[in-house]
Amino acid sequence: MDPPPEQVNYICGDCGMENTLKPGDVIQCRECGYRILYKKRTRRIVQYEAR
Amino acid sequence: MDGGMSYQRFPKVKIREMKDDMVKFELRETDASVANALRRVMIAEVPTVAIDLVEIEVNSSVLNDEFIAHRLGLIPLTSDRAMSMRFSRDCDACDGDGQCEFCSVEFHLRAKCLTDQTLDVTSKDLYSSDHTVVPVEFSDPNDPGEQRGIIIVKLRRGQELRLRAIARKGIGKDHAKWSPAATVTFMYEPMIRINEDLMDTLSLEEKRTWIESSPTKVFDLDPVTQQVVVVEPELYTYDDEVIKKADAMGKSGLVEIEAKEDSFIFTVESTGAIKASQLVLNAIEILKQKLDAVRLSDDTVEADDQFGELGAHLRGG
Amino acid sequence: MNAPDRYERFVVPEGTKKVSYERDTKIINAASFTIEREDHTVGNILRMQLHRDPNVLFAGYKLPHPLQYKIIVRIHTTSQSSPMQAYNQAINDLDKELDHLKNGFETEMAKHSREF
Repeated sequence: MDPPPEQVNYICGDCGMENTLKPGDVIQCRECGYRILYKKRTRRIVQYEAR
Repeated sequence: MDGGMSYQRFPKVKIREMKDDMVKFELRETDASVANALRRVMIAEVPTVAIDLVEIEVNSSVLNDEFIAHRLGLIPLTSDRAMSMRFSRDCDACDGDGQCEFCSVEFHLRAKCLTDQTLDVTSKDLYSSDHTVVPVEFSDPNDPGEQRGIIIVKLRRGQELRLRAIARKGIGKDHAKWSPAATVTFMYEPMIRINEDLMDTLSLEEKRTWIESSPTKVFDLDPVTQQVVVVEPELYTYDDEVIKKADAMGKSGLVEIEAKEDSFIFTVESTGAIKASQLVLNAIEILKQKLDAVRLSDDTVEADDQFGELGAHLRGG
Repeated sequence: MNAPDRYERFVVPEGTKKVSYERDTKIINAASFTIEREDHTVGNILRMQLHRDPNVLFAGYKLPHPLQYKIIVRIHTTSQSSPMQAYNQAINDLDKELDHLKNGFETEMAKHSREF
């Protein structure tokens, strides 16, 4: 009962275009048809110890 | 009671050379344990300020997050404030996250490459919230007048780096990034005595060969008197090459070299976080604090025999 | 996986005393002092200073294990003194010696910078 307000967009491995995919979509770049898409870096700020 | 007997020593200091990042001095009339303790404290227990926590918002560079965080930690920051700062763990002013203004310094860095030329992200791009704690400025000895800053990462067109870093007080014992010393060395001052009678039995050629046998130029031939003289005793590194050469030439006892047991020559080089002379003073102060912490006070309770080492031993443990 | 945390080398945990001592039950005027979270820096300097005290018959220190961050200093004295007295005396003397060293260094620094 929690409609995700943000749409997840993935980056094409070939042309670098951002594709917005919904659950159930075919995994394919809309522009060039490349089938390997990468997830974007998280928006959360990651903390590291400088060690 | 003891009656006020004191077995203290009275050490003497003489500074030979003093620059901002290096000091060379002689320490006399004290024990090797004191010299060594000073050396150990200078390397591992004099506090400085260094980046300890890195929050990365954006990083599209070729180096991964923790790599960049590690590099940021190693950047030396001017730490004159360090002796008066509190350790984050001891600070009661902040809400426990160790990021208040009394125990930490905040930095931020924003870099994005917009041109086709490679952008060098250096320590100069780190902006501090406290102007007394900033990355150390280095000048290349080959190229004075140019100060470039330590390169953190290089960016290509479109790559971006945005982060926030917290610097805290720490000591070298915890992590080497907090060590303010580049190198600290001390050597025993050598006492070199040439047996002149034996030396006179050598020909000029033999004298030259013997002088050459030393890896460092400790001896030289006086151009006027043609005698072997000691020109720089402190270049002697306690390799016994000249002694072995003298033995090989059949002239044992040609020179006597002894280390003066209570005379030390210190060379202290600093990373720039603290001035070298200040580093030595801080080290003495920290050593005093350590000894103070270790005193027996009136409430130092005698450990119960049952739980101590001796108790365990008596029980056959 | 088994390595202790780095801060264990110098942070004394809650409840543990920095210094504690145990008298030797079989030898008179002998005691072992356990100093938590210290190493050769303090151990050696204390031991060498204790050797200068003519009332001290025996003074030695050891680190029982390199991964246990404490030192044990053992002192035997004559009946003229006690191990606790010798220990405190050694620390006081070292404190005075370091004060002297500090003053000497500061004087030298002032002299050196004046020459420029």
